[in-house]
Amino acid sequence: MCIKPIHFLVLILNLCLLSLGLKAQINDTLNDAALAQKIDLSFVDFLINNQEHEDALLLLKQQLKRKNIDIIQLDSIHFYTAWAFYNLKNLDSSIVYFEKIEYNSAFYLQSKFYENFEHLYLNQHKLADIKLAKLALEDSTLIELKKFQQASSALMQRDFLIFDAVSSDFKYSNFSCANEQKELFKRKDEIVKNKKKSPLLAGLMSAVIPGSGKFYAGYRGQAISAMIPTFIFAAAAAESYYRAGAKSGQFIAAASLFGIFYMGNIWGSVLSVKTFYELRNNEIHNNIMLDLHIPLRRIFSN
Amino acid sequence: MICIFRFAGYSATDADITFLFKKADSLYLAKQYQLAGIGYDEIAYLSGENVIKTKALLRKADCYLERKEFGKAEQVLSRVFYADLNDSLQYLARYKTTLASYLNGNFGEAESQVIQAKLLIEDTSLVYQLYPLYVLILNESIKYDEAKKVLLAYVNHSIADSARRKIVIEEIEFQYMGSKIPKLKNPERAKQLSTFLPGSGQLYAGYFWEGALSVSLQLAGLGFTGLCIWNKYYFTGAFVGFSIFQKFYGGGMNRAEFLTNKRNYLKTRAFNDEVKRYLFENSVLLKRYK
Repeated sequence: MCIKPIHFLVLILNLCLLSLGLKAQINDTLNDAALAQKIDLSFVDFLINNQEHEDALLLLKQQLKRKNIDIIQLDSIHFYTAWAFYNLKNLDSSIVYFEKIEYNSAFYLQSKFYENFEHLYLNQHKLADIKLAKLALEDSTLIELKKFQQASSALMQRDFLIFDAVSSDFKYSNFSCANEQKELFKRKDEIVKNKKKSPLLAGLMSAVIPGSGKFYAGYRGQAISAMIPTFIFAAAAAESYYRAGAKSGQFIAAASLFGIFYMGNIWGSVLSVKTFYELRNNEIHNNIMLDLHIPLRRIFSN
Repeated sequence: MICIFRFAGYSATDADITFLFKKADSLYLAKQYQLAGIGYDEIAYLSGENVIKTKALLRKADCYLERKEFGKAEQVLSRVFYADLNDSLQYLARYKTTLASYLNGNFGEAESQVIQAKLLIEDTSLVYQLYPLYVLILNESIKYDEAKKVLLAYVNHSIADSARRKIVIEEIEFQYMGSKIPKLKNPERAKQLSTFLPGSGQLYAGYFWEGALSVSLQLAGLGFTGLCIWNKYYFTGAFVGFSIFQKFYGGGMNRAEFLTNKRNYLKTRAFNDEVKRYLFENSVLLKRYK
């Protein structure tokens, strides 16, 4: 029988593909075989403590593929997976695994508080509120922590009524979060002082005195730097008008530049009201998040 | 069948550790570096002996070095506890830490490791083996005189044949002769020069045409100012013309500083790369690394 060259080529190609597929399968088998058996979770803890988060996740992922995992071990696997993702700042994935931890687990309470912290970090305040409301606690420290998280969430949402109601219940008796509870009131004062200013007024102010709108918005340094070029081009335009008249090229060029800077300055002032407000808001938000984190570390680090 | 990572709640015996090393080594040879790394970390976790832990951590660092994750290798090696290590193991740990830090661009830490090795390892023949790497680190830190001394000390120690030693010493003298060592320029001085004489900072950095362009632009700004004033456009001349000049003047100063830094970088890079090439091509110098 005669084999055409094209058939021979197709045969070689198929053999190559087959060998590549086999190689990949062997690698997968190697991974699975190496990792599929029951592991000591304290080793996973050891890896996480030594910042080997990817290694820990690889082990845990393989563990989840095992059959006949008892519920206690499953909870532990979920907890360590969530914890590794948390350390890698992969909060979405961390939440998914924290949510899977059962009520009876020893990790349950820690998981819930970290889960809510992550929701707050991701600006999912309502979700955090719902989950915190459902959280039934007996321990006085954890009750204070819950109130602290609820108050922080209310403050982030600028809901002062709820904040006042929850914070009035603070006991300040627990070292773990007493200072941070007091700090929340400072954050509230900062929020109250960071009032929304009027973009219209900022624009009008810059129309009258270039740069003054930025000063009003809060950018004092920028006000001067915005004012100087506008005045320079105004002076140049006025001089050209005086020397060469309204139809002269010099006047048209200088007046155009002045117009661009003048209008740009007004528009910049309008926008700067919003950006300055948001900048300050973010600063306050970050301070609240920092304060939220400290009690968690104190209470759950062991 | 490969079956490591299986010891739930387990205390390892010597036989287990040997078994685990073999399995992790086989994964390493199969280029399964992450799995091998986990295997070595498990040994570090299970073993109660610092020597075994250290050996495992060194192998784990090798896995990261193979994956070119130098920062992670450095992090793993920071877990080594040096207190009860013998000289040869301490040398290995310090050598790998130095290498990982060097490759990670952390030259201060790399140099610190060599200095600690010099102080803490009693067997000086081991310390000498760190010297070629030490030379590269010193070059990167622009300590050329010290680098040359270290290299000469290494040659004197490691080459027994006096004729061969003489040739290598001459080669090193040639590599580090005064005219070849990069003469670094002071970026601050370049900026100051451009402050007093526009364009001179760029010239000092060795960029003639950039200097000429900077002078031309500044002269254009001044010319525009003069032209406006000549035509009795005083405000336009004083403000617009002068602003143009001032912008190019300030920009010229910053550019002179940047160009000096760029020139210094290129010169040091070229010199350091040449020394590195020489070291790697010279089999006598690096015989112990091969």
